[in-house]
Amino acid sequence: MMKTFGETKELIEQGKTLHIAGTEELLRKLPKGDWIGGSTEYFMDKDAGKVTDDMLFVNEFADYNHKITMYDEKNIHSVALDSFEGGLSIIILPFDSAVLKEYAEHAAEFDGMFMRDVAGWVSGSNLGKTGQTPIAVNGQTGEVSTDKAAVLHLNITDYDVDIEIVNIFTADKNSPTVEFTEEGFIVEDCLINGVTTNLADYVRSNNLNTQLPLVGNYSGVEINISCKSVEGDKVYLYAPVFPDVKYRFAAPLAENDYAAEFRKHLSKISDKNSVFSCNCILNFLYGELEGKSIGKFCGPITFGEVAYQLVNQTLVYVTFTPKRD
Amino acid sequence: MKLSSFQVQQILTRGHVFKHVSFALFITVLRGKYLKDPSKAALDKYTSDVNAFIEKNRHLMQDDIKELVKI
Repeated sequence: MMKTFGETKELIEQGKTLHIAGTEELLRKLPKGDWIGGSTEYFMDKDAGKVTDDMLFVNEFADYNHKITMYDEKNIHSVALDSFEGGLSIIILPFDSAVLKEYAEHAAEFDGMFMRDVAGWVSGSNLGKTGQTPIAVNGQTGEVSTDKAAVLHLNITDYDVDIEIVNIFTADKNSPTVEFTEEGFIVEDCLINGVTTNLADYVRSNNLNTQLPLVGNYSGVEINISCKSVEGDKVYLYAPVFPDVKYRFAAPLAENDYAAEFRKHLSKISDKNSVFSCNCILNFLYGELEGKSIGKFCGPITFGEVAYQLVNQTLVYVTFTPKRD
Repeated sequence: MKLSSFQVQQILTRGHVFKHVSFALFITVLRGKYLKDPSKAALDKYTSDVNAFIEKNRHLMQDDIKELVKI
């Protein structure tokens, strides 16, 4: 939940295990302790979306055995192996860093991934302000990094951990299928209904709305790939596309009302066991969510979401459900 | 439940759909690996991983397990 700087400082000094989101300036001032942090000024609070540089969003975890580790692009591949068996690892990756690129392109291949639960987000800055830098912080050491990921590995022994997503977009039934022969963030040619086509030309000639993502069918689950820009003969994406996945362009939202669409999706979901969530800056900006409520799942608004792998324009949440057996 | 390597091969080649998000992502990744390396040794590893995943998440993926036993 949202906390003042003083309240957050107090929790740290009480020895709580925390995940913290807030501005770079506030994070740098917090005392050392058992926490990781990442920068953003955008939040989804209980009552509405907010942009603030004087509050922090804090998730407090029970007194689980835990460790905090920083990873660069050379050792990020061991993040799942380092996770506790049956535990949860919360990762914060700075935007536009080499470690983010490595994670985005290769997380699915990391040893142990999916056998261990890794969720998290990409830190950023206020898009309307200059002089800020996306950071990740290891609260134990005080290390503030623009090029390393901070990871809180929690040893969860008494709960089943589950990572879920909420995607308000769905593939447009009238869209052609879009397939790629190589994985990557920058796309030139692709197969549109099986025909080799330059994607940038296709987007321009069909006047497609690039605020709507490509939606891939991942074994029945719809995963978004968002468009960063279309420049010349290239389309730049926020997350990599993969071969062997069929994508379609997303259907427009009814009246472009993101908040209503979230409330509709979330009405079917309980947040009772939710311990962490984050939502995408593109949903926040394109859906003009500042001042609007989506009903549930408070947390940072982020520059990429992690549900094992990097996803886009998606709400990610984690639940702890008491173990049965 | 434990799936055989034959059943896992069916899952990786026939485009099944799943409800549990983590399992669907996991199977999609494994399908990509299988297309690159469909050898018996690799399939045995995929089978072991799928069974470990199901064992770890069995309470959370009951709907998918009902479908998996039909394969």
